[in-house]
Amino acid sequence: MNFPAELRYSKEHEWVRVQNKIAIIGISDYAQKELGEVVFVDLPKIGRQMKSNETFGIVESVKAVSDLYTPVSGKIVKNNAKLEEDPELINTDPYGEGWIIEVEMSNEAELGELLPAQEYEAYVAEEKK
Amino acid sequence: MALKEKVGQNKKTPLFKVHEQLGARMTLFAGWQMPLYYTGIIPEHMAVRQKAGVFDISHMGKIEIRGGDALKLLEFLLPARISRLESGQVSYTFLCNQNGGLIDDLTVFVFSTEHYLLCVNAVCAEKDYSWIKSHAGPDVTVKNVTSDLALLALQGPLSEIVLDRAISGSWEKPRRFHFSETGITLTSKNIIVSRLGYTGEDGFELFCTPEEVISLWDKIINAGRDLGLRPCALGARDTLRLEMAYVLYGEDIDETVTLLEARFGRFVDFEKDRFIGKEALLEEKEKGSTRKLVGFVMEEKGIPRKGYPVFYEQKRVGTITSGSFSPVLHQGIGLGLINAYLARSAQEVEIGIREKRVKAKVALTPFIKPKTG
Repeated sequence: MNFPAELRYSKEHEWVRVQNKIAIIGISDYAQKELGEVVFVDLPKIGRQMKSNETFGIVESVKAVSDLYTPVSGKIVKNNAKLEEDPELINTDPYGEGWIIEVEMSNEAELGELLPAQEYEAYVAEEKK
Repeated sequence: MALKEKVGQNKKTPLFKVHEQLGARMTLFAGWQMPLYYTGIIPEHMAVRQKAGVFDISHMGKIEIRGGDALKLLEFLLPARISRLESGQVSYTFLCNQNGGLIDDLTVFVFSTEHYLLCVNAVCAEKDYSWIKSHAGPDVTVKNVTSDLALLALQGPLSEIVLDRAISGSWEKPRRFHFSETGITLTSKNIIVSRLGYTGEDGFELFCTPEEVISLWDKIINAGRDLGLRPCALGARDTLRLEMAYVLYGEDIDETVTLLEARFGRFVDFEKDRFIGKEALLEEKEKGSTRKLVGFVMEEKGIPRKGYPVFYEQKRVGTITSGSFSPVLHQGIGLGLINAYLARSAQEVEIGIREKRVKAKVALTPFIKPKTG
């Protein structure tokens, strides 16, 4: 399993890539494996304001419906429209083409609450037990 | 996101270690530890539609009924005319309660008028056994043989070729809804080969002793390997049956749903003198059902799931009972109960998915046309 070192992770299995004030968000390799084949993504509207840990969308596998929680507060400035036609990008490229939303952060200090790759990897190992 | 589900100390089929060795994602189903998928639900589903797949379904309930009054008992408990079934035939039928409500859907294997085997849903095995036994007189024995017989399903357009290669020696190939057996006592080394399934494709369900099922599984896997046969599990089993609009007990039907609401009227012989549920079903037949179980195919993106409401002209008119994504159609499909007057093919409705109303159409037949079934 893959946990790129430059990203930060939430305990809800989302990852964040920071580019200036923008947080690019998706779900981790562990999350996509647990979920199974993604067949539908319910993307939020652009412009929506969110508080951290709020549900921002839904990702559906064949068998289950899963909530997506935002790791940071801010305004949604982009969503990945490609996921409407190719939801399985979340499985095949969870950290690249499978990105889900981009958020203009309102409180960058929240990034400090997220886990670095090594800690997230350890957290996942505990969860698997 | 929210994940995970722990699988604890529950019943295991004789193939449990095989599933582990294959790296199956396991799940809990009706108190059994079962594989959910090996490689993925969609590739396993497509293997069955295009080539072949083999499933361990040993968890299914099996009830043996023997004796001079075996036919009489089944004639009373089942709504079909059992006496018209010939030896070697297997028939899809139901156990109803006094209200015509469904206790279970099942298949009955006819060995003779004094010997039947019922294959029932795993979740109903104990309930069905108790129900049948409670109606049995002295001249019939009822045995729960669930753990005495292992069961594999081999399904798909190539299943006949695979089975031909897997079984050595001569064997009589049954036609659809029939079975072959060369000795059915439980200590026999023979297998029962039946020609039916839960996928819509051509296929077989094979009963054998628990001691031999691993060997039978291996024979099938080896025979089918270069033909594209895959091991398939319960995840694909569910999406396959859903594409055929086949019901799943406990999801689409239960004791509060009548046989006629589920649109199984053609399986009833109302000319039969008596059977449990006859009066109630006759009354419903005359009055008409107030609701019907139908299929729904999504017209816009979205997946119907159990419990989602069905709307027509802004009014709630039904509820989804099961739903998922169809790998063949690339659309959401589901089954559900709807007010009877809307149970028409191509009727436009809306499914409530979270805060949205998503367009869907009623379907009264299977959603797909299988290659060979």
